[in-house]
Amino acid sequence: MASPVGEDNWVDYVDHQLREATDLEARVRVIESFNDAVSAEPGSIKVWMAYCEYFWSLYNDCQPVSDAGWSPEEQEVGRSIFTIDAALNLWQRGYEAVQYRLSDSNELWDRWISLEMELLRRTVTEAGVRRITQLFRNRLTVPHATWDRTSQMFSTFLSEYNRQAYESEMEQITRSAKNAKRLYALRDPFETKLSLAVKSGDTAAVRAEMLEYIDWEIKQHKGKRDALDNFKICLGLFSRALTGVLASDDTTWLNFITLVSTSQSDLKAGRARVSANLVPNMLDVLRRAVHHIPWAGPVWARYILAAEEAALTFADVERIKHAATNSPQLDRDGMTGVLDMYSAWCGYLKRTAMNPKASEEAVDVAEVGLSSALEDVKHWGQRKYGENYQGDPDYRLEKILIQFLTEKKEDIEGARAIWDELSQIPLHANSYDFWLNWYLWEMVVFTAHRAKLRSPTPNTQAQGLLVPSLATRVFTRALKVRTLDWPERILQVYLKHCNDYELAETLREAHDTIYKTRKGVEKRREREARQAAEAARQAAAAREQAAPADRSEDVPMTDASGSASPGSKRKREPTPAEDDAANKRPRSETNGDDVKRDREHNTVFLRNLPADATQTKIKQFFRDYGHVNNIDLKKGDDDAVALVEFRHSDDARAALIRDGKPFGDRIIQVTPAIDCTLFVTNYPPDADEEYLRNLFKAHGEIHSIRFPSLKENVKRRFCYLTFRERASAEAALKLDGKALGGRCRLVVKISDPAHKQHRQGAQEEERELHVINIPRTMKEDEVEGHFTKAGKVVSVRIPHLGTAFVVMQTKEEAQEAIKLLDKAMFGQHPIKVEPSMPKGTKKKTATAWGGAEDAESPASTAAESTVSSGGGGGAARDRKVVILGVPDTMNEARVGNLLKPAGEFVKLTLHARHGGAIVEYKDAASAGKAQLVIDGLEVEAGQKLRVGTTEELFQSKGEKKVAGSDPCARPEPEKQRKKPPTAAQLMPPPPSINRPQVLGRSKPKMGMGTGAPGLGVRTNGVALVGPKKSNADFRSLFLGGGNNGGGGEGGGKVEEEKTKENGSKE
Amino acid sequence: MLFFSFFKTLIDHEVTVELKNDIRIRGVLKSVDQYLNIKLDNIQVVDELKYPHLSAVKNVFIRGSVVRYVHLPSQSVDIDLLEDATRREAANQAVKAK
Repeated sequence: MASPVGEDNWVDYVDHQLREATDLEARVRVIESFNDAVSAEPGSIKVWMAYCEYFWSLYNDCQPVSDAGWSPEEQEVGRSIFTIDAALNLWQRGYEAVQYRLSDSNELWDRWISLEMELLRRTVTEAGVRRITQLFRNRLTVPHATWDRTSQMFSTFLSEYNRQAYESEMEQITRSAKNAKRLYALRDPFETKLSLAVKSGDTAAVRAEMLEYIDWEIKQHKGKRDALDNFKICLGLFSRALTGVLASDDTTWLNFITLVSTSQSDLKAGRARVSANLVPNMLDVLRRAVHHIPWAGPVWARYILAAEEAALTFADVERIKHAATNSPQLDRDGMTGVLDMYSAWCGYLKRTAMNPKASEEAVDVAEVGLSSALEDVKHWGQRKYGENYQGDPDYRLEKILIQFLTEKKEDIEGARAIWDELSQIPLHANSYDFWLNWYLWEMVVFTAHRAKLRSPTPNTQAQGLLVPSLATRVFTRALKVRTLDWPERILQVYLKHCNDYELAETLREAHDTIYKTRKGVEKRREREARQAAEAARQAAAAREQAAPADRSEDVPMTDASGSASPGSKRKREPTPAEDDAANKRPRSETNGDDVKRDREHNTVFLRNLPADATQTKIKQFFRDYGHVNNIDLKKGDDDAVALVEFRHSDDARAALIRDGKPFGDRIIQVTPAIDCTLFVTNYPPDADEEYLRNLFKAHGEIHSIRFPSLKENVKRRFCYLTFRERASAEAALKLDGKALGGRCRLVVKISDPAHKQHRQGAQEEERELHVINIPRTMKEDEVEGHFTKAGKVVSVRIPHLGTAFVVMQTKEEAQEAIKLLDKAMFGQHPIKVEPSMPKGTKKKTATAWGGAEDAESPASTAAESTVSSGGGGGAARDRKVVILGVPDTMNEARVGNLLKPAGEFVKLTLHARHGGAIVEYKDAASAGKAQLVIDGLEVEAGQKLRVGTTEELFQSKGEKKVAGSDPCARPEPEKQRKKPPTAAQLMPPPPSINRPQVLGRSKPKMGMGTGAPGLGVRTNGVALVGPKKSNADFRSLFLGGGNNGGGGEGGGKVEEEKTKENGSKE
Repeated sequence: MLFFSFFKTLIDHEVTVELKNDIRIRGVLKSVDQYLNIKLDNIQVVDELKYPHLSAVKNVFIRGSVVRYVHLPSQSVDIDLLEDATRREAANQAVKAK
């Protein structure tokens, strides 16, 4: 008997039956059918309603007062079967099954409770009142749509039967139902939308709403809060969906199955938040599922799996499989469903046979079953698709059979025959993946075989070197296939294999084959690239026509092996000369290196790297593709992206071949990084990385920002900003010319060394003259008057007495001036006039003036004041703080910003070459405070500022930033010894003793009271040999010192032990 | 460097320096250098009767190595600042020790 599917069909089916039921026996059969129906559709309110109503009517009918026309005997028997208890029980069961259907569970409930109340009305008993009160209580703690009505009913009920308890009862109910109301309120929007959709009669809308609701509900289920209620409601929703509009929706069923199965595994793992009896039985669920959606292969597969897990007998599982194959709809959506089902079945067979305890019979059954499954699938496919059927692209069944044959039956030849057969099918033969799988299998077989051979006969030498020739044969066969989709990969593995395992002769042959094939492949690739380029050109042309403004042209980079394919090289179009922004570009002459080092074209992006990737690993990964100049690795939460720079652009192009290769456990992407980098300049001087990131982040993800070193020229103010995507870089060009706070107009260009521009200005145009030895009394206008003899003077500058820079109108006039005025007398002096040359070194220091007022400063810096006492700021020396460890990419404005927390300074001089700065403060006390703040202040991750002495500053070379290492490498101690540090002003000139510095020193810092081992200690002229103090000594030192350390603020004085310098002093 | 920086913040405050030969000198701190040599102004020896030879001296330069203690005026010590700096210094030391 084919059972109906879906609630409507069930109701119709039983309805039909009950109309014909005229005697007691038939009625009992109807009840049985109803039982079947509710087990098939346990969540269906329709079925339950029909069932309960029918049972109730039967109960009524068999009462003596009934006029249903039953014979008295039937009534007699009926009364014993259809009792009032059974009927009420049934209502209860029905209610429990559907109570979490938020929207419509009230239909059943209302009917039930009205019956109950009617019963009570007939005979009011204490117990009856209590029972109904209890029912109401339960009902009101379950969220449902008509809560208010239920509550209303309850209140009526109470006032009728139990007036004295009314107040307390209602209060209690309201409290305990708070949660239910809240849960329902959360779902109210969905319910409203759903009911609207239902009213409009639009089935598609109802489905859409329902799906959305289910998605939301599943998400709720994950939350910790109200786990139990959410789970129940979720189940209720699913039963609504699966008995209603979505009854034959694959996704919803799969959602449901996954939910149930996860909850079950949760149960097993003991981390379930719901109790075991709530989770429906997996097998039941799946049985219902395959009834509703018999075409869904995955569901069948799960069904078989669940049956296996539940340890059903073989016959039962086989019955499921037969049910599946007999279902006419299994191939409704093509062969996928069939294949899914069959692979689950074969997997089951295999596992039964592989089980070490499996009987001989099971193995036989499995073997027969596997091969017949294979046959069945083939026939099925041919029946459906005729000759065009190509088999499973993943050859899952074959894989299982091969594994079974290899491992259980040890029928290597049989398994190999299957591989062979598979390779006849062009679908597989074209896939490199297939060949590699075969190869791996052969190697496994070979290894197992060798291990077996080795144990009984240790002397394998007699048989010659064992080689996996069969594995080698796989490659030779693979390479014969002309249409292989990725021959490069096969070649790569082939070569490696031959190197590793094969005899010299075979290796040589392999080399030959590889060489020949590679040539063939290259030709083929070239052809393909041409075609691709042709297609791309056409596409581009089409796009050009569509949008002529869009000039960014995406020529796809083929990942062909380094072969230069004409279409894939990007032609750079020269951009129109920029005229206005040109002279603002602070390019330095060191850019000459940049042309040699063409970062822009030698760089590739590496994406989806594992998070633990290191520079070394990446370098190794590209070992065969050329020299890696630089790696810029940025780590994300669970992956990393690296920018890898090669020495040559050819290398970079070759490296693109590694796209899609595994790196660790990830498949990485390699993409060219051409045109991802912007040259940005003319931003505000104090702009730091964060500022620029904020400025540009709207256009895409920024990989890195590279600032130039300021060592050679502190005035440099530009940076290279690399985006992750080329499109972002192009989008960011919009910011070119943007005005940023005041005078700065941002310059943004795609970085390209070919577009380098030289500085322009009087000096570059050779119009500037350098005049030396002019009389000290001469002012600018007098010099100008003197030079007017040679031509028109544009400007005169006298930076310091005796020297002037004169800018003439033209180059010729400047030359004329040299001829005329050089070595001629000017006033009393013979002056020297020469073309002004760019300084060999650019400006190395930069000065910023801080906000702190101090008129004394310039004077006091120029002249070393010798008197320290008296008012004012004190000795300049005391007011200065020397900072070391400033990154060489930071300009003075940024350092100034960095020092803000340490208080306002008067003057800041940045010595980029030495990686430091000298900051002057208002007075010594603020300098000391600043020192305390600055020492150890973090600039960038891992890089800390430190306070030192002027000597240290000028001896240090400026730090090269090395990520991860300690950037504050200390200068060599030997060097420090050379200069005895200048002592404070009152101190007599120090005797010529070499004295290692004690504080701000280069040696590992020593704690209080310790001395350098082995050095003589002399206190007050008496030399002592101080052994290194242990912690115990140290403690006694403290305690013996009269408890003055622990006093804190006691007595108004904080006492502090002063560092003993006995060790390091002479 | 910590002590040097710290003492610098006390410049122009009155401190008492206790020397290793038990003389205690109170005066206004005028200068300190990297050896923790100290210059004091307007000095007064705490136990004047015991060291009459110092009663005429108005300012001194004290070599850092002969100092035993410096008694600080508690109201001019910025405890928070000092604590932060000390913590950083300790962290630095820990890094270097590795």
